[in-house]
Amino acid sequence: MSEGGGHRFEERYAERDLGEVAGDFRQRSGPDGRSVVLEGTCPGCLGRSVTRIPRGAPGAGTKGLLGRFGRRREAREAEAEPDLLETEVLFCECGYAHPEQPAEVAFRGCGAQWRVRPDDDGGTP
Amino acid sequence: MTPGPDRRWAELAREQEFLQLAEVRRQAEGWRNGLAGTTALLTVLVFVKGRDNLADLSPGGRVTAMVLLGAGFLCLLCGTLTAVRACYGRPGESVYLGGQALRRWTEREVARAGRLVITATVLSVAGVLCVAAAVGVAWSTTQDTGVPPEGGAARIAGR
Repeated sequence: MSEGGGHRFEERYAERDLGEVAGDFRQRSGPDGRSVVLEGTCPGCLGRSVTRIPRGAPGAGTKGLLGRFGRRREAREAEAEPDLLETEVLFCECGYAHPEQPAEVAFRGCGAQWRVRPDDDGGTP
Repeated sequence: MTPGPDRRWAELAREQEFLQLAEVRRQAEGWRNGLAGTTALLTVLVFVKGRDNLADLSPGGRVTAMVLLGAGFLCLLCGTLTAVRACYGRPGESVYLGGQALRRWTEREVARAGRLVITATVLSVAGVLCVAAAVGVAWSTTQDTGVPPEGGAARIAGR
């Protein structure tokens, strides 16, 4: 996860927004089929950042009678997987405990956050 | 630039992954109670409609009363289900648990819940008014058939 060639391990942990960044980010389906994996090089520490975004109940959900209709809907949604690289804010998850990193952090990395700048043709890299 | 609420949303989405089962149970409980409430509507209608025998009504009054009762029942049923939907969300709904996806879903859900509460209120009031109107029609258009009660007729015949 953190095996990037130029990974700056000495980069101190700091929560900072790097704005829109162009880079080698890509999106692929997760192995469980219900999640999406966003990966690329963190612009903050240059480590390999991998973020898994699962599909789940936002506040609630069930698989009862009405869930049968939900499953049909889910199948449609799975076919049209959204471009999360375009819409999500990414956080460094290089997995390395950078200096001064708090004990409890949701995203284990250097603390950087950024958006992926869309290509000129409107899509993400 | 300092991080804004984006980090907070992302952390919330990350946490949500581990809270799903509790949320599902809470939602199921709410829907169970709401659905149980809909069966009580039938009992309420039987008590509220007034006259036991709609056959004593004039033909026009009978049709009017039945239409009003049916409309009232439908309004109350839809109002109850709409209120439950506003309180406990739509069963089976799922989104990608990313910070921005959760943020957009929350914004949509807040607006939707507000609209649903208003709809539920309108439907419930309309339902009560329909049932009240049905009671009014039942009492005001009942015909006096002049036939004595069954027991009385038997006594007269046996005299």
